[in-house]
Amino acid sequence: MEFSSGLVVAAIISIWLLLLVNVILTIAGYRYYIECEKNGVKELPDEQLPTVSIMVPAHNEAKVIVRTAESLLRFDYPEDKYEIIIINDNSSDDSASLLEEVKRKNPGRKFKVINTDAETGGKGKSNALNIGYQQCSGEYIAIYDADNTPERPALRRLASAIVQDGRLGAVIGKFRTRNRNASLLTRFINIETLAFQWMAQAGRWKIFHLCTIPGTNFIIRRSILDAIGGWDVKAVAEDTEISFRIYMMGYQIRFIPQAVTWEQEPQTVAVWFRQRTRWVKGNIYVLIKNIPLLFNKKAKKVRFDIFYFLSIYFLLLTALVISDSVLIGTLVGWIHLNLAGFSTLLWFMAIILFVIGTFITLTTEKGEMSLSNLAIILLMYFTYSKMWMAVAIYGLYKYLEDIIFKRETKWYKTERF
Amino acid sequence: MRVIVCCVLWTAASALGFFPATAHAEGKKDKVLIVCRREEDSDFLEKVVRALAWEPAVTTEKDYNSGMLEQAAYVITTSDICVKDIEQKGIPSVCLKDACRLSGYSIKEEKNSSVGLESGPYWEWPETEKRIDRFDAAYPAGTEALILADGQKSAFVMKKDKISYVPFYRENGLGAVMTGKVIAELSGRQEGGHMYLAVDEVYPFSDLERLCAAADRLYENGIPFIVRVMPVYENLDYPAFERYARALRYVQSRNASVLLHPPVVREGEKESEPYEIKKERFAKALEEQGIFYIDTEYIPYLFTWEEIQNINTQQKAFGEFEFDSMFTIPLSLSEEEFENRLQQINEKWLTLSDYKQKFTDKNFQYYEMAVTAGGEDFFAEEKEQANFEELFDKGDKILLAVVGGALFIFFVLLGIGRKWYRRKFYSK
Repeated sequence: MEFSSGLVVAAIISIWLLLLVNVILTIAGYRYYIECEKNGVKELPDEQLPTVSIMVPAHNEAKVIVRTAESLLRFDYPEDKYEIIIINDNSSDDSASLLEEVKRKNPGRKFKVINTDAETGGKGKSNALNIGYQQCSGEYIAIYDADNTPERPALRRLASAIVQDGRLGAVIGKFRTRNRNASLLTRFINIETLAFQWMAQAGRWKIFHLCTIPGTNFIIRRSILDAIGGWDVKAVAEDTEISFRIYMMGYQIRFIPQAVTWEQEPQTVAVWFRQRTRWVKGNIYVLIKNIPLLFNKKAKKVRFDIFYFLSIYFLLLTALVISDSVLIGTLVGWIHLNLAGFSTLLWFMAIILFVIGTFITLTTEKGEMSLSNLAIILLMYFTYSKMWMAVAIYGLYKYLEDIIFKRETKWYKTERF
Repeated sequence: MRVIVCCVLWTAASALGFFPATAHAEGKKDKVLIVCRREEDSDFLEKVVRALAWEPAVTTEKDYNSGMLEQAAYVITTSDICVKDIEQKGIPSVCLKDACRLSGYSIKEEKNSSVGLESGPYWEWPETEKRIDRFDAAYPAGTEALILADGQKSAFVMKKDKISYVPFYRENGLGAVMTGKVIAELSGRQEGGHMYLAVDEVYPFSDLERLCAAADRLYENGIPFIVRVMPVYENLDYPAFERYARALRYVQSRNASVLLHPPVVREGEKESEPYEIKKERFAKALEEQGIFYIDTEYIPYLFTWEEIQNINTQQKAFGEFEFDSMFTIPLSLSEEEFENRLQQINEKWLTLSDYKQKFTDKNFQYYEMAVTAGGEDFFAEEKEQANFEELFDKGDKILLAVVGGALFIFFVLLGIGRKWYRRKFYSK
């Protein structure tokens, strides 16, 4: 038995195990969807709603910030019970004047704009959130990205859910792709986001009562932020980072699909690649930071999450790289591989499984259950999934480069369209 | 953290041809005593017995003594000289022709009779026989029967205790098949034999281009075949032998089994050295040339193509005889004749087996390589046992069940999802 055969077998086993984990999560996620549809979300009346501070970090977001601010102002939520804090973080565009204009048009509303410069700000999303957090007054804090257009009931639903259940440290909503018809890439992203939310988020909630904060459209107890001292400024994936800290405090994070926000996704591969590279680097930082939790008795609940994300970023990635490299090496004659294989039927069924599993998640949203989306999923299998692999490898490489050369991780802002 | 995790690797595997190494017939050979009136009468029966992978011992009436039965597992006799002895000793036997006189059955003699044959799904047109001895028509005919001129059937074989009686048989075509079946039943064997196609008597000076072209056509038609090579003892380092070896390597790459033809010894020919030494020299030369030959130890029963053609069957697929059989396709056929023969073979729906598979589980794969002159050549390598075969085999079954189950659940969810989708988004 050659070493390469052993490696490929280990890789194939890893890939299959992860696929099976995702099958289970999909089934659990779908059960949660049915449960949500049947039970709905219990919205509290105005008098029982808590005070909420909405924070929006924004860096050169002039293209989208007005629309976002206006949608936040239109929330179906008592005006006196929520404040909006926009952290205009070292922007060089006309965001400040645009926000000032919004403020002028909405007198009497709790609408605050914090303008920072290169000295006081400009150090990334976590730093901006910490600045806003210092000045907010709500019992709960909600976060939205600068390109978001939340639906009117979103905040009420998030707040109602967290107030009614003391075990919840945070509640996350659903995000949808506003520009999904802009290009094939945004169609891919639209399907990806839906599948991820219903598979990984809803599935994990249903089985383990675990969810990961997605960075936008979520609400968190202020007491938690007070206890942990705000956001980790070194983390570019501040959402994942804070999720682990919430778990460790013994709280749960719940997914409420009825609280919806619409966001703009990258329309070009270059922008998508840069954004995802940042996510990968950020998530690797968080995972490495939290690896000791695997050996922490108090972290029993979060071990699945650590294993899950470790397996995606390291095990699956390594497995795919090994198996692809050996395959290419075999094809060009560098490696002699004498390995049995699974039947073609099994591979064929695995593709069907991927396509149907993903398509199931689309049945939850209006207009998404279509033949064209079925074809796009099939196309994703051969294209987008491979692109993700390239991003993951590049992100890992950049992360290691930053570590080796002791570079400070930069927060890359996603370009808007 | 927003990630989708569904990237699966395609692993492609390709399989090339399988080729065995030199091998010898295996399995226990039961000793079968053939008793005939004259030595030359035994030829047909010996061939049938060998095709059943048994070892025949032949004796004549003149040389027979009852002590010979001690060594015999089975007896086949055309003489009645040993019938009482075999009855007494209870040896499973087949009594043919004159040996049926003491059977106790009523046997009729007919002259210039037209007789057809029937055996299960097979039947053969009538032929006129100068003389036949047959069972009285009053005896019930089984699946093996003679079809008489008036259309009546007469039993081909009658069985009493361990002895089968066959008063009439033909040494060709369906007659050989039916006789072989009766002999095969001596041991109660159930499995059928295999049928092989052979390109016979291939010499170094045969038309090797024609041989390669024939191999190509047979390969294209998915027909495994035997190339029976005539042994060559001298000039094994001559260019002609190199060309011969190259042609044999080529036909092996087209799924041929190279089988050594028994030596042809002319009457009165004086041997300069023992055959075994000469054969060893030839075998060594073949091995050095990378040719995986099979020795002549075991030879299926040889039918002519005309005999096979004359056997008709009621079923679409021709089926199998009880013993291993072979027919040949001569190299001397023109291209057109060869194509016609190939078409006839295909139309007959014969099940042709791969001869080498009977002798070895070793697999070889062939690789094409360029040579300086004369086009390409092939070299063979023993195919390695694939790693983790068992793991993948079991894993495949388990995963097929798991993925199948998951797919079933997914389709159920899809059905529910569709219902919810319509109710939620499109109900009035």
